[in-house]
Amino acid sequence: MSVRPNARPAGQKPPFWRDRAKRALIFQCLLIAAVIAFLFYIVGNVQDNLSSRGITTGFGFLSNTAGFGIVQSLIDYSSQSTYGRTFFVGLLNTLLVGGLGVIAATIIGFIVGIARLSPNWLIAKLAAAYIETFRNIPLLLQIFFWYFAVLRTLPSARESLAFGEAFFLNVRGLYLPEPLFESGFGLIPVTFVIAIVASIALVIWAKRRQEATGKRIPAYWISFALIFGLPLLVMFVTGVPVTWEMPELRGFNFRGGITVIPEFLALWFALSIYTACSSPRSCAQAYRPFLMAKPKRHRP
Amino acid sequence: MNAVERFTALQSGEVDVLSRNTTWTTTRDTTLGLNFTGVTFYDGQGFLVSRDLGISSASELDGAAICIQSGTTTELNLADYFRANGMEFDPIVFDTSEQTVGGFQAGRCDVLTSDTSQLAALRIQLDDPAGAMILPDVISKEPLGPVVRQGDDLWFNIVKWSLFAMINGEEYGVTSENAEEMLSSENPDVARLLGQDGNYGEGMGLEADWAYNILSQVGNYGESFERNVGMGSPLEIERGVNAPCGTKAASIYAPPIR
Repeated sequence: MSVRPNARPAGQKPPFWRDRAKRALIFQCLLIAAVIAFLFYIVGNVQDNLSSRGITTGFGFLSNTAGFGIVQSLIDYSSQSTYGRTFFVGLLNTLLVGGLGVIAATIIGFIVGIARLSPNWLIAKLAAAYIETFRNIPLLLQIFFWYFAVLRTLPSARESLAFGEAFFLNVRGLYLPEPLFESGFGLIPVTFVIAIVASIALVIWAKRRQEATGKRIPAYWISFALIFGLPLLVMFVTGVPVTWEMPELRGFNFRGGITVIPEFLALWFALSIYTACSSPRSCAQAYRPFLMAKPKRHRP
Repeated sequence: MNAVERFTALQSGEVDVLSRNTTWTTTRDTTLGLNFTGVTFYDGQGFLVSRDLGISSASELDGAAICIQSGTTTELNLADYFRANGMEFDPIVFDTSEQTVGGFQAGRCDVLTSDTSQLAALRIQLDDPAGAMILPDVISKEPLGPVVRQGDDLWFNIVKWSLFAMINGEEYGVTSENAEEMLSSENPDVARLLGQDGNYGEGMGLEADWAYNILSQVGNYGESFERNVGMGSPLEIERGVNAPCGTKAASIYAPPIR
């Protein structure tokens, strides 16, 4: 607008349809009105057709009793809970597998990313083969592979693979001991936090002291001893307030401990292995430009 | 088509009759825009277990992992039954009945639950049918029948009375073999059924011999039962509670053609 010569004498306003800004505004309003009218039309149309076919819709069912069981849930859930609650159970389960997937994919991606740049020909090629293989196989197929080809072939509950009487693996899943915290356990995380704060303070103090006097103390070693030693000390003083509930074969299945169902394992393995190498920005790929950009002598 | 998709297929007009193992319930009859046309089979939910477990009753199933098909009344009955009996279970849910059988065979679950007729069908698909048994307990009532869309009352009537014609056919002893001879029957019920006396197909836009055509080509209810699920089929389900009118159990009962 500013480059245009102002042909009209000042004071005399142009009619609004000649003003570009106002015209744009009017068209915007018309477009929004048209979109809203269209939405009204299709929503009304859907409602009409649903009611004429006698189909009930709406979200009222969310407060009804679901009536079915769910095998894994992070929050309290029973078959008497509502449909709304089943939604949150599902949401939290998704977040759990997503969160664990991020952690595992980061670790795998980091290791493979470094390995790919290894001067060792075999390691570098193995890492490259891993990336090129798994990134090109659809995720769903990988989930199926882990579930049907790997976890389905595990032995039955009575013939479980046992790892030292505490860990069991069978076709029903992975069974782990569950820590049960007794009263007094709360002190341990508290001392852990205290030890961390004390260590930070110690490191800062030691640095200042070195700058001022030139004397050095092994601050890092002391911090290390604090952070690990102090909670351990408290744990033994309070009489080890943790017991482990071991999974035990009772009746049909293992009872007690933590059960990781094979459906979850398959999803987690597949997600971790796929995302560790799949997208160009993911871990195994992402380290490459980062490491290549460094001076040659710093390369692994 | 899996159990979840079946109602959508019918609602959208992809199919016109849903005639399979669909249980007649209030919600399905009143909120889905569908009509149940009658009961073709009185079923109940049972349990299939491996003989190795050494179990003889459903009350011994506390703590079992149970394979179920999602989106079925089975899933809901199961939770009710275990809660009512103060027992626990792990539901292992699958999309289709093939996957459910696969899970059971692989040992993912101890028990497979479904309607007993369905269990009989699934059992013969197992690699070792003799190694599995159906427990005697029946924990629910599952009246199964054909379903049609709401809004087409003529079609609703046709499906409903086709079923009734087959049931009446069995009651009066009209079979696919003797339908021809029965045309000259003296029995007034048979004469009305086969269109020799009056035209009862008129109200449905059909010919007077509508029921004759069904009975001579498909057979009566009993024949259909024996052929598809009864002793003449691999499923070998006994008539049991699905006995015809006039016998002791007599659940299969149709309104008269009149």
